[in-house]
Amino acid sequence: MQEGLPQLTSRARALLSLVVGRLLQAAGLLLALSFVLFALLASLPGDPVDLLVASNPELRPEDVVRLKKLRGLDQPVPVRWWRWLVGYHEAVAPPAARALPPLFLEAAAVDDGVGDAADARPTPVRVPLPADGLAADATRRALPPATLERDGDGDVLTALLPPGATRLVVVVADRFGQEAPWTIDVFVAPPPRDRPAPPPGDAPVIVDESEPQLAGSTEQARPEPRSNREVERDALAVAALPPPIASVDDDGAAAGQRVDVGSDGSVRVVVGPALLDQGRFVCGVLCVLRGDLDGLGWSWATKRPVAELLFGRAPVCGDLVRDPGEGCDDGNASDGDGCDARCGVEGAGVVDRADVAIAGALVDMGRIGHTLVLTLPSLLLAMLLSLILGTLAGLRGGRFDDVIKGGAALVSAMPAFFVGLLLVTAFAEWWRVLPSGGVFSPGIHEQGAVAVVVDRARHALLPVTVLTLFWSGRFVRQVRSAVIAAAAGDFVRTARMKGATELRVVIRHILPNAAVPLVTLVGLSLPSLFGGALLTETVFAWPGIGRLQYDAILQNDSYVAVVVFLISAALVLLGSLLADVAVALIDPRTTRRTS
Amino acid sequence: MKARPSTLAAAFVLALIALLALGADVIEHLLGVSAGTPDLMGRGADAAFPHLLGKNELGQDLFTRLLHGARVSLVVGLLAALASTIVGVVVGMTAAVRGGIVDALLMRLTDGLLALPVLPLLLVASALDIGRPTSTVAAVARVVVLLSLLSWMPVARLARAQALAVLHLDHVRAARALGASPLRVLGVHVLPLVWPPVVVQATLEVGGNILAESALSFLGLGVQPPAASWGNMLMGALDVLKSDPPTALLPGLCIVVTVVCVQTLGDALRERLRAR
Repeated sequence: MQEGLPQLTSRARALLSLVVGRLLQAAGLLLALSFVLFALLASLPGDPVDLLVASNPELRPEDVVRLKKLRGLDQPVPVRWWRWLVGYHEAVAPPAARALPPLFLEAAAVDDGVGDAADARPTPVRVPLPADGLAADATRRALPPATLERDGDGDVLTALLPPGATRLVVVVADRFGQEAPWTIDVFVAPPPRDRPAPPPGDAPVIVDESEPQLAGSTEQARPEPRSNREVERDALAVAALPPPIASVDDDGAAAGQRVDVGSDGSVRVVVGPALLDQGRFVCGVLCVLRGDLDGLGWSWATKRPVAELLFGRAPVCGDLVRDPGEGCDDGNASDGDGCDARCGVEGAGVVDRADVAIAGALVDMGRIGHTLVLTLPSLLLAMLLSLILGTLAGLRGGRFDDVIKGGAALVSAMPAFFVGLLLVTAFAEWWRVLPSGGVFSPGIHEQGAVAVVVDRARHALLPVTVLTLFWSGRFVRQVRSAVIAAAAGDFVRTARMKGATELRVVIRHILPNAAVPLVTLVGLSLPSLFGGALLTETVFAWPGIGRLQYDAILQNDSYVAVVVFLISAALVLLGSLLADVAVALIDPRTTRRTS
Repeated sequence: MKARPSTLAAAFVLALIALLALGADVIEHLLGVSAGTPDLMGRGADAAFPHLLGKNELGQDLFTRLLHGARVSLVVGLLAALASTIVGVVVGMTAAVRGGIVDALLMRLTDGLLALPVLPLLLVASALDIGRPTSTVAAVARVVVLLSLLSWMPVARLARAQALAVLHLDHVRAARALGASPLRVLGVHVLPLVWPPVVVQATLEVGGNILAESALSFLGLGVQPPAASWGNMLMGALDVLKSDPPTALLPGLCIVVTVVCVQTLGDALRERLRAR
């Protein structure tokens, strides 16, 4: 061992190697598991696009092929799994040919008075491209003589139009090599002789897509709606212009963008794959490691991010921050966003608003929150109950022991959903004292935090009872046998002979020696916190994790299913690791054996 | 050593259920009712001969459906336990005998599978379309295969531990020294000593399998209507919980009684073996 480093005891080293080994093993297992699950779910019939087709009969077969290509669903499963794991570049939508509104320009003129040759100079044009999301990624690269840039709402193509050009063709190409021409007819009027032309490099002509108009200095001369005849007249004027210059694209070609001037007077600007290939990078599941929850993916069935499904959404305006997009007076009192009539009222007190905020947060707490509300109290209660009952049964024996043993056997023989049904029948159907399911009453969050808490407690009472019973039935037997084993030790007899009180014997001597199986029990029940309530949640219509997983599997919502499954598997592994570490700390013999 | 009264009672009840389940067709014939025939006019009818327990939410005869459900439950419970025991013993003993890398690999696999949350995995596997069952037999076989694939791990660990202990015993070494073939050593000298705890474990698994099958069927992924299973009978009765309690409560009671009896037998078996 190196100098200066604290000397690790053999026990600490054994512990460390245990933890590291188990973590590595867990990582490998999770990786393999994720692949198996992914493959299983991918082999389920009906991927999201198929489901889309089922709900939208207007989609044509070629659309389906295109969509599958876009989503990478045409790839083999290992590729899809890898993309899901580490992320991928999302393709942009393939282009379609289209004709954009015509462009009416005035040829740029220079008043140097030299002659006709000087008139033949390129005309700067700015063409707004339709915001299809197509050109959206082809921005931020200035390429002479044509550039694409983002301009507020959409993308604007700036080009230098050579003299004589009659048609501007923007050829857009996607990463699959598909090209589509977007055609813009250009009508250039000769420069007016009576006024000086705009100097070169002046503000380019801006053409509105929806309302074609002759831009620039002759704007005031343009009639509002142009008749076909006027268009023809301009076209004739263009035809009279001198032939176009051969090429203006010296710099553009090198950068993946090409401007060709055809013999028919059209200008082709190719916005190539080099530009459009910069598709959005979609983060994979591993992004979670650096805190990016978007990597969990997207739920096809609910059209929400998986992270939002799991962890809930912050209340929009109940948190005292007015969200201009949402607004408090959205008239939607039951969507759980914490917005209601009181929230937006002028001069509502801080206490009032905070009340609404808490109520809103309680209502929309995400699937994990909903599940924890059930499982945390149940698990704690079950542990407390089984610790007390199991210890008593193990120590006293006799009739009491028989009752506890029989009760535990009976409870663990009951399916959780059957117990749930019994309770619902009794309390919700016959006596009508408790709600039969759900998490809260509709509209309850308008009545403030106290009402919400009470309402939620009433809803949670029955499922918590079911889960407590269910877990107690399992735990109590373990506690009982651990206590019986510990009570048989010689040290217990010694303690009794020394005259220790019975309470002291139990607390100081028996329970610590029964601790190992109990700690293991706690560790192994950790994952139950997360996914242990699937059946209970189904019976009580409780929108928790288990229910989410069930729905996701049935609806082939594969990202949700895989993520939830992996989280529960990771928790199982973590729970057993924690239990082993705790046991090793309590009982040195275990590490000595492993080392 | 005399058997306890509770053990005897459990054995008796189980035998009765098994007999009734076996004779379900005969009983149907004798009563002149059919478990599958719905009678929409007689939904939720009270008990009256020949419908000994009345009718369910679809007007089907409740009693004979319970018997058919018993058949499913018992077959799934027993067959899955049997299959998982065989797989577990083979895996465990192979690991123990071969040792080294085989042992390490098999045990890592076992530990890995043990770490999986079972119910979600069952759900995923059940939702798979491969071999979507078309008949009751196919559905039951599917559930059996799934359950046994996910429940052999405890048996494997048990069998491995037991076999490791047994392999060092004198009589095994003696048999080896006498030139017995490895298979003979395993079959004649090791297996009989590995068997007892494994049988106890398998008995206890029967109850778990019955519960798992009912849960799967309750969720609509196991045995599906029109075939009867206690789990799907419970699900079907959800809507008539209040108006017709027996329809919902009887299948649940059947599950509880059967599982309690199986566990009691398993516990008794364990105590008997420990005493020996």
